[in-house]
Amino acid sequence: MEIIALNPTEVRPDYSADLELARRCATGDERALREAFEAYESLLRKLIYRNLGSREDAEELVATTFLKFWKSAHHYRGISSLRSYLTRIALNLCHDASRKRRLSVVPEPALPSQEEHPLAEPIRQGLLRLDREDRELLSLYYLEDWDYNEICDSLGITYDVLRTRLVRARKKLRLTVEENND
Amino acid sequence: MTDEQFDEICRSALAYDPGAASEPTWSKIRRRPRWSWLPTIPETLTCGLACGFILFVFWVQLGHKTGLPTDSNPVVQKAVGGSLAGLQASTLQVPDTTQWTEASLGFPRVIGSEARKGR
Repeated sequence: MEIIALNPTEVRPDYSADLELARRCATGDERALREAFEAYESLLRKLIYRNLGSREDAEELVATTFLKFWKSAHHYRGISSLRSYLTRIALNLCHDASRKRRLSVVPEPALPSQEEHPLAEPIRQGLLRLDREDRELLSLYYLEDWDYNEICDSLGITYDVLRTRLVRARKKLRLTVEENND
Repeated sequence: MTDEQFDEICRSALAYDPGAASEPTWSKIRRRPRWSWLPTIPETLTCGLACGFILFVFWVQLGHKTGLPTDSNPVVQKAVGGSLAGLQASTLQVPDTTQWTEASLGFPRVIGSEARKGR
């Protein structure tokens, strides 16, 4: 399998705009929270939906994610992007939700699409059957064109761990898809 | 199928357009922060315990400073026959009079005192 070309020495971007937004949120500025909501709501809803397989849960957890952020915005230090910070909150909530409800993730039926690849549905099903760690990683890797540093920040792992896990998770997904497709 | 092709299929399979920001979700968020300034139950308990501990320490310290002496005086004990049960301790402070003189207290000079001193 191909080794992904990552650049761990890449200079981190400046997150001062994110920090300023978080500071405004921490002071209780509702307009700032609305800005963050408009910027990241769709990303979080997409991510939670891909991790839990339920649109209703996704909406509920997005609201909870922003409420948690509203309360903890003063903890944000601008070391990672606000997007990674919110993603981390959302993924923790996904984990808690699936543990509390003992959810083995049950996917909702996919919307029919004529142009879809025949492997598309097996891939979606396969992703939901993966371990939590692999699912979180691949959902970030495939859903968004993310900077690898951001994936590391969101998952709280190092670059080396990311590289190893990514290769392993892709392999697992491919095996699952091929087994289901046979 | 190469890894790149597989990645491409995965990206298109997992692409999901969640649509515009959901207003019902926003109204859920807006409604709740009004109460978010209230401390949680664990925060309240922690704060209460900390305050209680500080007050307790303060109270103990204060008790030591104003407390009556509990050491028994052996002379008094002997005089009352061994038992101090009926005695009440007093916190009355008697001033030290050893430094006082007639002059410092402003008493009138006693007649003949010089003569007595001279003898």
